[in-house]
Amino acid sequence: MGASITIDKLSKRYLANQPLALDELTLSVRPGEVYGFLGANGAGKSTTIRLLLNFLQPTSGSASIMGLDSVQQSVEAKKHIGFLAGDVALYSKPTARQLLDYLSALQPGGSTEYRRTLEQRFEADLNKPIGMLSKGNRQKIGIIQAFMHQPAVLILDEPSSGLDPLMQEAFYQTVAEAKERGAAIFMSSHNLAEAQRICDRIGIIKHGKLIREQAVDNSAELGIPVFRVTLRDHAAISKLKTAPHLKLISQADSNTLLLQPTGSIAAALKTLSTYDVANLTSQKIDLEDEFLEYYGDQP
Amino acid sequence: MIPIIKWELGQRKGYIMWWCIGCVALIGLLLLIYPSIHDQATVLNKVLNQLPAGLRELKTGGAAADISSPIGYLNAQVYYVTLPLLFSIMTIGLGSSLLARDEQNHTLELLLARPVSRGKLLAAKVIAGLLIVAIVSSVTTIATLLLAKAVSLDVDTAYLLLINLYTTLFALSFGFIGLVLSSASTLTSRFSRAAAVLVAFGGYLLASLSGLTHWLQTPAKFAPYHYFDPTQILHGHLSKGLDAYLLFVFVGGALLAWIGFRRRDIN
Repeated sequence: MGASITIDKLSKRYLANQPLALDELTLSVRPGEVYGFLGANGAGKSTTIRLLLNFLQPTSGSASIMGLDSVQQSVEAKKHIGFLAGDVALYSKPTARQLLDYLSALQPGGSTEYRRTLEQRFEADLNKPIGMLSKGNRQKIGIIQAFMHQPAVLILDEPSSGLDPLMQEAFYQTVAEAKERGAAIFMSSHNLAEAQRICDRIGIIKHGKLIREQAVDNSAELGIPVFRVTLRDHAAISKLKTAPHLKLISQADSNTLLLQPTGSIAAALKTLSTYDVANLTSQKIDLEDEFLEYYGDQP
Repeated sequence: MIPIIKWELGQRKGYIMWWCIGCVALIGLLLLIYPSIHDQATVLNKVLNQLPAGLRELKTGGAAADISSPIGYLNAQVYYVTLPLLFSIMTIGLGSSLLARDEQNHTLELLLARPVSRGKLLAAKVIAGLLIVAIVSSVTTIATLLLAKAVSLDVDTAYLLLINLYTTLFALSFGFIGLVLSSASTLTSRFSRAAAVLVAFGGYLLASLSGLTHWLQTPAKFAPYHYFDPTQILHGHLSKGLDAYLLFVFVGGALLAWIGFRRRDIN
């Protein structure tokens, strides 16, 4: 099955004398997949989302939604999109109900029944002017407007920020429903635990470049132990770095390495048994470690 | 497009109502005092003509101060400064906020994430703006016609309709400049409003004072106010210069806004 979102060497430079805000980004999201887009502030997450929605003109490269070019066929492409902006901006005077009616008129689709389900699930206060709602309640309205027409592609920027734990659960349920009906979900997040919980795949972006992409539930990469190995013999460290059945994650100090088994744990332990190990501990690697590994050099 | 127009009108219901009330109140005030002023016209004309030339120019645009005649009164009191000024404040505020306010508040993203082309969004905003101005202008025109009749201001109804139409279009041109600047570029509402104000009121000062200073006469030809002569319109004489200016602003501006807004980055 073809990808719902395809990004091909997409670049964006805001001003001629500035570096690229997004540098030849290439990725794709399949139907029924939740893709987590992780990165620090200013890494290029929002730029990517704004390019996908044609709010920005790309400097080079292209993006498509359901096979439709995001620039040339933007209007057609948007028929398939549900979008939630980071720090959602809504009109303040109308009530949430009036706003949802207005947005429904601009983008028909979905069933009234599903909209009611979302309104009830998120306990949305529909009759108050939006300006009088708290940040969390405005976020709920933002989520409802993104999902209510049951789009094939969801582009969500920090979707659960401002939600209390109960509403976060409601959001995860809504994402799971969308995924089940085959929607492709592209979401940026700072919440690594959330990304680990709901994403099928993550991409880490830094300085506008995609530096890592991996499946979240792939035990070959995540969830398997990492060995923290301290050798008595400092000279053997360089040899251990390239030892078979082990992948170097990082060097903690002159005698200590973080190593991940590349195959079976038994084979890795067998290799380690040939070294004079002073200390050996095991830890699980998770998204946060992955993220910090790539962002560890940032101030 | 229809939902956007309806939404825009709904959002500005209070704005429309207050502008209608304000314009009618001002026109009412200016026209209802006409009978008492008319009785003392000789004295008032003398006072007016003794004003420093600069002040008189700003008030009448160079036309002889004759407030005893209905047309002279309407020119000096209503159509040369007051109504264009009032309508310009409304249209500049409206034009420079129709798109720019949405962009500044990031609610434009909410609309552009929908399957609505930028061209259609712009057209819907322009139509909504035109409808708002048309409502306020129509209410003001009806009030003017009724009050003119009530105070026996003897001016042909057709010419009164004509001057109201031209005053509206003239003021609208400044609002349109604000809209064009905010849609074709990433200028914020504040900057596009400032630029439109500069064209409108800077042009008014330039055109009004050009009769006093020789060196202002050439630059004044670039000021829209130079071509706006209510006395002539109230006599049924249309100005080709004014028509050309309006055509240039509306057609050229629409083209510039359309081309610029379709391809630019959204803030």
